[in-house]
Amino acid sequence: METTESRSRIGNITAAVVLLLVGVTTLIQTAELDGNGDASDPGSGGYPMLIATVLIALSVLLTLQRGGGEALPSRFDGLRVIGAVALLLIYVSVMGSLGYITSTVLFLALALLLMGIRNIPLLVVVPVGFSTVLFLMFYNVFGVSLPRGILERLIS
Amino acid sequence: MNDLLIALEAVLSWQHLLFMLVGVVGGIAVGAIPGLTATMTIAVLLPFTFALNPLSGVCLLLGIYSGAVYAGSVPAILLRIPGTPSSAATLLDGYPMTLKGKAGQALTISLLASGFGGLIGGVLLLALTPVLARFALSFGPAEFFMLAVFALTLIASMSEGAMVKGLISGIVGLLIATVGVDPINGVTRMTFGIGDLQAGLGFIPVLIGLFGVAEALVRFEKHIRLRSASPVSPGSFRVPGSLLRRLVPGMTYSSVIGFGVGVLPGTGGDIGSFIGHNEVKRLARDKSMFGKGDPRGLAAAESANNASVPGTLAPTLILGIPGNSAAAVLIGALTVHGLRPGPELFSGSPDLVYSVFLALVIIPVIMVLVGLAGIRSWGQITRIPTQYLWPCVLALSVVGSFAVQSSLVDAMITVGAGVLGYFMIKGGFPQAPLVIGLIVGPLAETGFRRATIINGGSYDWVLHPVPMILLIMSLLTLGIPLLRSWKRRTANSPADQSINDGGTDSSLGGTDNTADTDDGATADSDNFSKDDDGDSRTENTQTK
Repeated sequence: METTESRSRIGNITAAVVLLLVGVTTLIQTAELDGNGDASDPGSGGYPMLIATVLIALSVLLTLQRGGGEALPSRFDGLRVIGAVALLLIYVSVMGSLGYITSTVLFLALALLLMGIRNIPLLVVVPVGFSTVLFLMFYNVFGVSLPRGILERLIS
Repeated sequence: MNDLLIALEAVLSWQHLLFMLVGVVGGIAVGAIPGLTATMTIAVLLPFTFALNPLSGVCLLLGIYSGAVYAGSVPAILLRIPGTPSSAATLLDGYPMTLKGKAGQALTISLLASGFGGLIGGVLLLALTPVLARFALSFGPAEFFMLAVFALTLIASMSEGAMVKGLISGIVGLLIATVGVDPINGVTRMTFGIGDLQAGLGFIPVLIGLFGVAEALVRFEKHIRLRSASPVSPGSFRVPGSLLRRLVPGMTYSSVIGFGVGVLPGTGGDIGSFIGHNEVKRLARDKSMFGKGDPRGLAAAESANNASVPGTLAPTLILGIPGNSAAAVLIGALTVHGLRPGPELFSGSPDLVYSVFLALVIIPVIMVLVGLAGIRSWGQITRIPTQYLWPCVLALSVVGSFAVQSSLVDAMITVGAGVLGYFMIKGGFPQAPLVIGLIVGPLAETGFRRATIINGGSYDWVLHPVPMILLIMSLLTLGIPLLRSWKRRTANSPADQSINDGGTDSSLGGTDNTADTDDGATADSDNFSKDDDGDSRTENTQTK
């Protein structure tokens, strides 16, 4: 119990530090902004500075709080989340060059593996079926062109 | 009257009826699967509406939302797992009916009560909002700024046990809204030299990330497989007319309560259904069966949560301030088409607004018809394994946000917002205030600065009657829970000096509401009830 409480306290303090940094960065970023010469206008920086000041005050309050939040994931569970985020980042990064279908099929296959799916036919059918249907739907029904690679040129 | 007739003609066209039907069927399918929330679904599917005209898109999303809010009761009744947070109160009497062999009857009552509640809510919205909209037209910048502040303080105070975190979440939303070109002078700020951020952080990619990607990441972490439902014998689906007549007064009362609660920013079906259930129980002559499978309790909870759906749209359409996260998504569906919810929308496009209201009256009817047609099948949906769905939700989120402006930067923003949302969930920061903050941000800044400029640089506009009243209400919203929490702490544990905020007192369907119900199922409903509109943490009853 003690450990859970102290962990959540540490979580709150970590969040508070990050939020303080966000607040201070906002203050620095907006301090240089001028108004439009109208003395009655708080200016482009005035409102964000006000918000940042409130954020800093609340962050300080947060450091005094305890509790809240969910338990931290175990190392293995945490790795699965990190893996999913890494896959997402790679997916978005390569979509422009590989094209939508290839990148989505690869992403889905790997994400399903990460989710614990080991059924090989499903690892092929779900990614290929999902990405193809979605592509055709966006292209033909919604008129939205998704990033095009070799496969996209073949089927549309 | 003329606008109403034009709207009626528009909404009764076969295309719009078809979109409502498709939405309701899809919503029921989603709502019946525990873990897939209504907000997440409409956020992820929002980009699919861009190619449609605004009314078609809104009809589709409203159909999904209403269908999901109803169908959340199916696993609540059959499995004791609310499909959506709005159904947390449903299990108080729904599941005990299943244990008594009356699952079929419970499902029928739930469906009819949902349709009834939705219909009453729709009619109330249609009747009351034009009057409120006329009042809202007199609002100036100062009033809108203070209204935004009030909405944020209210939603933060409703954040379960975490008022400070709720406020922080709202403030971060306001801060994110300042990125890009400022609304008065056109000065670029907070972009860190990144050209793509000049237009600001897109509200829709952030929304999709917060509710789609973040939820999926949580599911990756928990790696949950649903407990396989033990086969339940539903029994008869028939509800005797005498029983129905006995349910009507409670359903009517509960629907009005659900609508009223839904109107308040930050609240929604989950708190409305608990209050509706509680109120009907309080007024009942024989309270002994509540919580033990009383159809009156089930009907009250279901009618209230469905009546809150139109309720949440009242502040959304009249003021441009979303009642909850789902309403925020609907704002997204309108803004994509260049329509800005608020008093001007009401006076500028009354036919569209009335069409939306009428759709909310028609959808419950469609829902009841669809629900009755498939009532024997909805229980099967709860058995669908969800581990295949979450990777698809991630891909859909990325593709959907890309489709907004054909921009990979937007897709990256969605991933970033998803990671932020995941950490918010882990840290106990509610997501709804951030979304509300993000939406009301430009409204608040414009109001704040214009009011100050109009008053020659003075801030005495705060002392004008309406802003002053809103300021006092905001302070009371924050102060009362804090005071109550402090009193309770000093009474219970004088030695405890640690600061803890008072959000719990008014948490959504959380501690207080469930404690008051005294139905013997409070512990479960505490676990299930989470955020107002998007955060069911159903894993409490799921097995790894």
